[in-house]
Amino acid sequence: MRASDRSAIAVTISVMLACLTVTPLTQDPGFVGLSWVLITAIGATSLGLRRIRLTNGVVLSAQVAILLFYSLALSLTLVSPTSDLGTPWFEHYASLWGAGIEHMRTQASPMEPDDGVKLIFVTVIGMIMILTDLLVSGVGRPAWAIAPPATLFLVPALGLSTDTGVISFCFIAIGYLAILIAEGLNTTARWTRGLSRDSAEGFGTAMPVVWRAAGYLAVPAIVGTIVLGFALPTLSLPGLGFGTGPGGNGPLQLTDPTLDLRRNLLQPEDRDVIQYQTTAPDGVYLRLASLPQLNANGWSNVQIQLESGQSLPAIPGLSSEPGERQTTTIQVLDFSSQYLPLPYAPRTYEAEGDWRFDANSLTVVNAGRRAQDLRRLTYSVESVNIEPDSSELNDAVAGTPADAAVTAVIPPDLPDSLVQLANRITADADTPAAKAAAIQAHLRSNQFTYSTEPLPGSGYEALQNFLLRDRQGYCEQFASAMAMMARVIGIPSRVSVGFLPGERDEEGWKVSIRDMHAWPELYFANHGWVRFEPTPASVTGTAPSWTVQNEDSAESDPSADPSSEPTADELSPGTAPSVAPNEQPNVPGQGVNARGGRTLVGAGIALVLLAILAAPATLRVRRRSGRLNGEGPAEEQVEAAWAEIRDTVLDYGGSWPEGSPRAIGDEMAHRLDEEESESMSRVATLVERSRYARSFDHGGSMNELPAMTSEIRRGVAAPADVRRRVMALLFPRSLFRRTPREP
Amino acid sequence: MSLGYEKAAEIGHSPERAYSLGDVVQVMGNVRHAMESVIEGKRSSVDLALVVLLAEGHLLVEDVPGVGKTMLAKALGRSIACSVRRVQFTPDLLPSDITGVSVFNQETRDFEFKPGGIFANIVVGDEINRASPKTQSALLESMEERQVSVDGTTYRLESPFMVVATQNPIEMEGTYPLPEAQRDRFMARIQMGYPTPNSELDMLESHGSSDPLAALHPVTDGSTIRGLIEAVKNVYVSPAVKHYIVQMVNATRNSRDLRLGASPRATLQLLRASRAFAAMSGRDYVTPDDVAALGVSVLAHRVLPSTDAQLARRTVTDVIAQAIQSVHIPDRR
Repeated sequence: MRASDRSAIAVTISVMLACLTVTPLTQDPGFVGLSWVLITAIGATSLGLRRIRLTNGVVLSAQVAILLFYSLALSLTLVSPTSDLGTPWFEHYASLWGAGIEHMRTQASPMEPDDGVKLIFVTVIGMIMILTDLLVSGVGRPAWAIAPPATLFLVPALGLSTDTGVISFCFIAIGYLAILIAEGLNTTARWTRGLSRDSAEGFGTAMPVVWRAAGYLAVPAIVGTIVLGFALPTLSLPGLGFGTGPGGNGPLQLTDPTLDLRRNLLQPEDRDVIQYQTTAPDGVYLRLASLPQLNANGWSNVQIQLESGQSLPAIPGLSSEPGERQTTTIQVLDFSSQYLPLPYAPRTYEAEGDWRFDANSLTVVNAGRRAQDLRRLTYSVESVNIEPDSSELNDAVAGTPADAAVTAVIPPDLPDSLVQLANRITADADTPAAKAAAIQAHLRSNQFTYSTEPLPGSGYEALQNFLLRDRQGYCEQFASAMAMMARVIGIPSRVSVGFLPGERDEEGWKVSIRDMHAWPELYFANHGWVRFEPTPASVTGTAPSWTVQNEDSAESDPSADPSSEPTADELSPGTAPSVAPNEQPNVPGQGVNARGGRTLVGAGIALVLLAILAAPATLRVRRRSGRLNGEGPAEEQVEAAWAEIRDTVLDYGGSWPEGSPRAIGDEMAHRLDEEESESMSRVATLVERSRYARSFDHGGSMNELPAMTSEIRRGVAAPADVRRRVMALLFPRSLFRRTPREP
Repeated sequence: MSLGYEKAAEIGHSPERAYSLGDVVQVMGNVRHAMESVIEGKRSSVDLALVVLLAEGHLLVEDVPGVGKTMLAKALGRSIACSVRRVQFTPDLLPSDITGVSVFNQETRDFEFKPGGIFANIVVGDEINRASPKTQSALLESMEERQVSVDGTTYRLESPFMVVATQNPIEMEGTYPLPEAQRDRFMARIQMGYPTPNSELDMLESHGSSDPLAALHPVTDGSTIRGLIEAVKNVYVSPAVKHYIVQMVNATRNSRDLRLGASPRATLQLLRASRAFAAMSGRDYVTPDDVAALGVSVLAHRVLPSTDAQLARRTVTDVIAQAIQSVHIPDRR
């Protein structure tokens, strides 16, 4: 094999492995296959063009052209949320990038599947492939080839708060090792040129290279692993979610309440983050934020108007304060957020720092809108509990809040299946409250299971997965599902994020990290935003009294029929356009992906096993092609061909005759057919000449040497049965031949 | 193709010219063909005789009576148009019969040198072990030095010069077997062996009615042979093959079955013989096969088996063959 071929193949393998390291970043590993196609194309370009000795510039241009073409072609098969079929391709391409970047910015790893992200990943991996190839084959600096794939490794290493795992590192290491071995073999090929030691080649030279390369890698790898092992978990980047991994000392961080509730629920160690004393007998839900907007990406925040002041405005939907104020004193133990955890509905609060409030949601936000370390912050709040009487609520109609433009909008692309489900569940209920109760009852029924391992997906797909498919989820799924369905049937809704009341002890209430919670709030006229609790009782206990339909409250008020609902006309399926293109099919596949990690490990082990199995065959094939490539001095070629014939005979279980080339040639000729034996004699004569004659005059038969060798190989293989052939391929005996030493 | 006598004579008269390996193959092919018309089915013996001729060595033909030892020697002599003498060794043969003697010439009143039997291109020494050691020494000294000194005058022997001595191993009475040191001077020993039944049948056909030896015409001449000898000297011996030769000779010295190994002279002669052997195959380089093929013929008569080997009834030929096999054939330049 040529040196350039070897390098190109090593680079291809290396980047293929490296791109596996970013799979933890997304829930959709579909980009891997696409990347591999691109990597292979770029690698093949390098191999082919360098073979015909084109310059780096040409190779690089061709590679970049392939990358661009592939990336564009890929973009045409993908769907962007902000463009449709009529959009020009370049705008479509740009919109995909924009959407992908936005998706990455707003989602925590593992990200939900997104076409833009896929395009970005594939394109970036293509760039890294080109860079690596340039480093190795172009400028001949294979030692630096660790750098581009390592950037791929560093992204999840830094971006994920959990351990990225040794497997990822292994991918990079194996790839780098491949490049180093290829380089080592290339170098060795240069060293041994001119030495024609028939028995020293192959293992003789390959093994030291392999060991040397392993040495190059092993020491830095071990040191690097240890250092990174200590350093990585404490790293967290702002804006990438709840950032502390196990062993970290930083506070629990919350910048965007939508981000990864689940991660907090999955925290390996449960620790208290907040403690409070309150006059409310049953504790309070501490709300951080409310997410009023529902669209294809799920529930999210909107721009809010912040006002300063310590007294909050009137409670939306309520003309007067119901009941009495509760006073709650809150100490933050270990928490960082831009939102101040407050019970709903807060009336006044006293907290150090510059806090602002939003009049619609009554959330209190840090003025800088940045996550703040709230540790040791103690503040007090007066609030009223919105705990409507069950029967009163039942008479209430769904209201129209001030922000109805957001909280009452049914997205036009909401899948029909969800709309139908919501209508079906609430078909028997007459009043909005009854409908809401029906939805909650549906979600709290034993059809649904609380699980922090829901099917992956985002936006509508997540809702569909949760409601229609596996019916497994945690508070976020329950809350968003209920809020969505409530909205469908005409009740303005939002999803709030915060904490459950926690546990009570003698000092007060303690809220732990696993009390992180999400719940829906529904808007009723004269009651305002009312908290519902669709999450199963195992987590939240019994549902609030007003959210359960009593027998006696079943009689409904006809006037409660929300015929005057601003959103009533949007209930008809006809106005909700079909969103089929945006629906991601293939749910079973997604289910497999959920266990992607384990599958990946399994695949990795299988790959390693395969590699080990294939190693002898690969080595043998490599050695053969190295021998028959027609390069080098004629004497070496002849010796190589001779050694190849010998190894073939050994591979097929034959014995290699003792003696001089002539004697061996005669002996072998007896074993072969007429034509092959003639070739054998000719090769033997060539070997004899090259070894013993004054000058090697091959009489022009060098050109035929590979053909003759192949013919002899065929002749040797001809009588072998299938088993023997397979053995010859997989376990070539010649590899394990003892190198004969001279006496 | 057989050259006639005249043609051969013509070659002989042509000025000294450079001969190629092609000539070696062709001329030796002719000689072999001619000799084989007399000696049936002894291709290897004939070839070995020619190898020794080209390598400027001497040949010892050793076997039981009647297998054609003398016939081989005579056929070789007859095939080449050069001076051939035959000396029948007897116990009363004197050294001067070999080397020659200075006789007083009455007319010139001076001593005149009468050359002995050794003064020829090819000397056939029949039953060499019948002569006294003294006479044997005279022959062997001339063989080695290719010159004869009589009465203070040194006479060079003309090239080509080859002694083909025959020896009968089983007739012990009244013989003086060549001591091993003397045998060392022969480049190679041929053991003729009995002919195969077919060859023997052919022999009956050809020899039954006529004498093929008489019908044998020379196919080449001395000066051609001289040129061929020079050509053979150009045959290349790679360092690997030289190494192989040395190792082979060393193997005889280190063998537990041999009391006496081969001498450095044997090494040299093995090299020369290998060159001639390669040249006769038309090759300008020596292969290990050439060396191995000649090993037994060149080495076996020079060594002495150990008592153990003798008790184990192992012949020297076997021991040498084994020693040759034990040497690793060089697989690089």
